[in-house]
Amino acid sequence: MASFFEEIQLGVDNYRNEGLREIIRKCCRKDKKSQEILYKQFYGYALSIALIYNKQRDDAIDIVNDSFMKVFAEISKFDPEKPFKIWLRKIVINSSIDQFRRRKRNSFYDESSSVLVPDQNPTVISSLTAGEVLRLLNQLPDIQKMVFSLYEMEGFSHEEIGSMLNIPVSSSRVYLTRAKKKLRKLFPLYFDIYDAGLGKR
Amino acid sequence: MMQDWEKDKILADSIRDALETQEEQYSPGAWENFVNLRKRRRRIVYLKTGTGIAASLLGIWLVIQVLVPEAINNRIETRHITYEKSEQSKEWTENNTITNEDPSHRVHVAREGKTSLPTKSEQTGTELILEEIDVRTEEIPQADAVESIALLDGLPDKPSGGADFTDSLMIEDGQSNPEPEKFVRWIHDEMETARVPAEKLKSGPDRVRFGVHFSPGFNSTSSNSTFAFAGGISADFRLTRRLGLSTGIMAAQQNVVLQQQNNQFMGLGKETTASMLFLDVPLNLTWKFHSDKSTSYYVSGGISSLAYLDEDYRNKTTTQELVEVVREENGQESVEYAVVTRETVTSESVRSFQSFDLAGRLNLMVGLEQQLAPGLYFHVEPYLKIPLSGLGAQNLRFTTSGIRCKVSF
Repeated sequence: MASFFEEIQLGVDNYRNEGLREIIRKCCRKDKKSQEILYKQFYGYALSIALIYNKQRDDAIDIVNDSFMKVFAEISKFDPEKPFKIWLRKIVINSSIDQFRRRKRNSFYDESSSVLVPDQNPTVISSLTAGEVLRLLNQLPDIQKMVFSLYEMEGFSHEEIGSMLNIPVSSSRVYLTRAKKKLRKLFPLYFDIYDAGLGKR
Repeated sequence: MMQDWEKDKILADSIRDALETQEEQYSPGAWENFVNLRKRRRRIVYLKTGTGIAASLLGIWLVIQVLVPEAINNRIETRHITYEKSEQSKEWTENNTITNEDPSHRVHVAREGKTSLPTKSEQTGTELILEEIDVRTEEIPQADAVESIALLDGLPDKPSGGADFTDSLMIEDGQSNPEPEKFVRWIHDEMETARVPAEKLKSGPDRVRFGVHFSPGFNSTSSNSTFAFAGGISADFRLTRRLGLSTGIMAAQQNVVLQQQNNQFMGLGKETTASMLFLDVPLNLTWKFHSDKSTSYYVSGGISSLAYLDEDYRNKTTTQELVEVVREENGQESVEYAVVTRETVTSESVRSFQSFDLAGRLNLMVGLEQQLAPGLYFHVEPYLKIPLSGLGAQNLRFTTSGIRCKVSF
């Protein structure tokens, strides 16, 4: 059976799930019980997306809550032909970008202040868990992490990222290059193993 | 040796794989936190909306005060001043200070005295009238006279009530005329008639006063007190000089915590936590027991009807139960009984406008009204709202007390 992520990738219609369809219909009528069910069902998924774009778990939870407020406010506009998870994912990412813009306005970011701390137990990349990957990504400065995630995870172009984050396109390219360079430094053992043909994914 | 771009590709793929297959677990209590956050935000929205409405009303009131009533006020003020000073014009008439003047001019002079005062309201009536007369006695162009008549709408060309205006002209001719006072009396009468509508106009805005208010307070039950707040708009109707009727609409956010005995078998306690948003429509009678120039003190009492917009209840019931504990020692089973405390939490949400409490609360209030500016009043009103029946879907009984701050205009 395909996981939820695979369903999204394959474009499988979530509406084959009659229960979800009913829940969404009730959410359109502001039924609190249905809202609670929807929230509990998709909380984990939304949080896993939010954690990619936010270093602090508390910030990620705030983003999730913001996103669900938007979901419940706009659920009547949700296109039933599309999978619900994709719609939710877009909302979570947009909320994260909004939050990033707000933080950018309110705080001065010093890129040099971020410290690269190699993972204590890098082992091989095939055994890396999501938590370890997140920890490694969190070593990147906010802007680099955001650009890397939007480019590599969501597939946005540099032009789109530039307009979303209010930065020049060239800056987006530079941040991505720097992010990749720093990440390469965080996996020396893996690459050594890989190069020596000892590690195989 | 791998190229950097190859490493980057492998790295990006592995990160993508690791993150996309990952899904966090639901954290217990997240939904409750979300609901609380949503309520907080709603409150902020209500507060902002209330503040916006209040600011808009204040702005509209200021615009009206600055632009619209200027002409009316001038007219009212003019008439008052003229009336008050007409006693002195009597003196002036008796002293025969006007001589050899065309009678029609003199009428115009007297009338002009009524209409030309607003810009000189600080001067005394006598001075003003005499000043006007001085101007007129020198040379009064006919056109001006006609213009001044035009300003006096509603005043007849000829005095009513049989007072023959031409009689007063005899003064000018030097004839001994016993009726100069007739003219003065006519002026008085005219001023009186002019004054009545002026008073009516002036008292118009006071008959109904609109207000915006905010009320922080406390909800008290037999076991607990919690913070509450409300805000809304009001309309105060003046019935008599001291008696008034107040109504309006108020949105109130009330949190109530009620701890009760659990009367079930082996019950320990029952705690109800309610969060309610409702509309409160009061109908109060207000009696002003003391008023001075700018301050009034009053008492107010009445009833409130409630319409509930949102009700969320959380009931926690604590009971004790006996449970069997089976133990095995040396191959032998033994059964023991242990008392365990069980907490059962149930939540209930009630949809908007599912509950109504007609005349659900008794309002008692004392108040202080302070005039801030003409037509603008600030009220401080300690209040007490006593339930007359169980309130809301779960029939809770709680008393609300606090201080209402109101601006009326």
